[in-house]
Amino acid sequence: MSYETSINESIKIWAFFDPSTPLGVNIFPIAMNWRRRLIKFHKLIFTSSKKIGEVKILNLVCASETANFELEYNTQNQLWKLKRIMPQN
Amino acid sequence: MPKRIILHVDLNSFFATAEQQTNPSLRGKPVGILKAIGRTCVIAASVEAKKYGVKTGMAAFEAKKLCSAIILLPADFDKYADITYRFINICKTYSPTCEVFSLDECFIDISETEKFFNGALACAFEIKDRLKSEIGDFMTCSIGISHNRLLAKLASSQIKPDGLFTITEDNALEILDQSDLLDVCGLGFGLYTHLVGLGIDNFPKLRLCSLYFLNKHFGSYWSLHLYNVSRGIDNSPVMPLAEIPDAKSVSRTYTTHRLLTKKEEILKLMRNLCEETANKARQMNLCGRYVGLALRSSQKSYWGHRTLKTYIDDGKRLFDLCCQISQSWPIDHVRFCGVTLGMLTKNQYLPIPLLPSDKRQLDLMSTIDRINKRFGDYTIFPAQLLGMDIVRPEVNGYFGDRKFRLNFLRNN
Repeated sequence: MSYETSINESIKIWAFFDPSTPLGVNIFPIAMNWRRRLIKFHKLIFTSSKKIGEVKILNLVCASETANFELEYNTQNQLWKLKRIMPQN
Repeated sequence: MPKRIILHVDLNSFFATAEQQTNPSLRGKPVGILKAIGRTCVIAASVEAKKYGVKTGMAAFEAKKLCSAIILLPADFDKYADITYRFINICKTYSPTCEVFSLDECFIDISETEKFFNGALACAFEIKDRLKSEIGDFMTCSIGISHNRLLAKLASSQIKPDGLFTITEDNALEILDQSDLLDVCGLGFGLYTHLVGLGIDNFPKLRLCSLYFLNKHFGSYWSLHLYNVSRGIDNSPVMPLAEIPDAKSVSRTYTTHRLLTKKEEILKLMRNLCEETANKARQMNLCGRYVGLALRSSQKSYWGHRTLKTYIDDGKRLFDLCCQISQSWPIDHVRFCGVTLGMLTKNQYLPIPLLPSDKRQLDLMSTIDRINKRFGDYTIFPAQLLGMDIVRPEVNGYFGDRKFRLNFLRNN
């Protein structure tokens, strides 16, 4: 059984930026457009960040109704990538 | 001495739980973490895998034998470092006297601050709640509460996962007597073997030994340590973040995926580790004049060092010295390499270069450092490292370089 599928594709994301949140990361992805499909997220499961040089990269794991998606947000060029898809529990 | 209240917070099965937090389909399943794909040593196991007897340090094939369903995943140290930093940020809000003990453990001395949080138990529950709300709902920790570090750490190991346990002066000896000698922090395998050799295999027996007897067999330092440990006495203070001592040495070690048989690839690895060590020293604004090199094959180990008259912080010079140290060694079949730079001082004490060639070299190094800081490690690297998988900086579980790491993380 596969526990994840690597994708690594650039995607379009609709996200909500909330500066008032106490969390380290204050971006909440709402939905994404991937391969002409609109996928809505209903929960942000996990966030982490790392730095490559001076560029901060955020990793966000979001749950939709059918699967979990790991997204990567480059804070310098503001581009999103779909890193991998993981099945739900 | 006023009675202290110390919390020991320990994230449960840290690396594995972090993976289960990220990927919910792994929750409830036995998970083992390898350092990288193709590695053979399990560096962490999930709570579910531990039930099958899988332990840290076990070979992957042994883990598979014990639990055929185990899911082996590569470690993601960037993720773990990020969680650690957020975990420390939570812990340090309860007291400025918060000691980062390792990547997943903190001691918090709340003697002065517990009244602001309605007592130690309320503090502990709040930490558990914040861990779930600020890091992830699958993250759990075990918390031990006691009047010293030794007993607080022992308390946190009593109930796992997600436990909370208090050791008071009344139950301290009872808990110690139920514990194995090796369960206590500060009593390692060497001391344990020596004690067992003398017929002392539990705490009641150790407590019966006089200080004179222990002194005769273990010397003045360890005898007092053992005498105190057996009685649950530990007066060591909790070391606050701001008082972490300066590094005494900088080193980088690496165990290879496979035996390195060609001299060229062994030298490449050595150069890579020299660059890593020198880079780290420069980032810490340090330079050193003691150079140590260790190489290990499946059969034999080699260790050598040089003490210089002048301080260095240059990877190439470090590599040249390592080549000198290893000149007479029959370098083949290498499995492990380690480079150390010791006798450190601040790099402002480095001699000012007088010759134009030395000045050029210094300028080149600082330019490369600036480029790598801006665009990422090894954007520019020595040509000797071409054609190899470059060993990059990463955190280690013991967080031995915590002063550097915490400053580094704070700046990110």
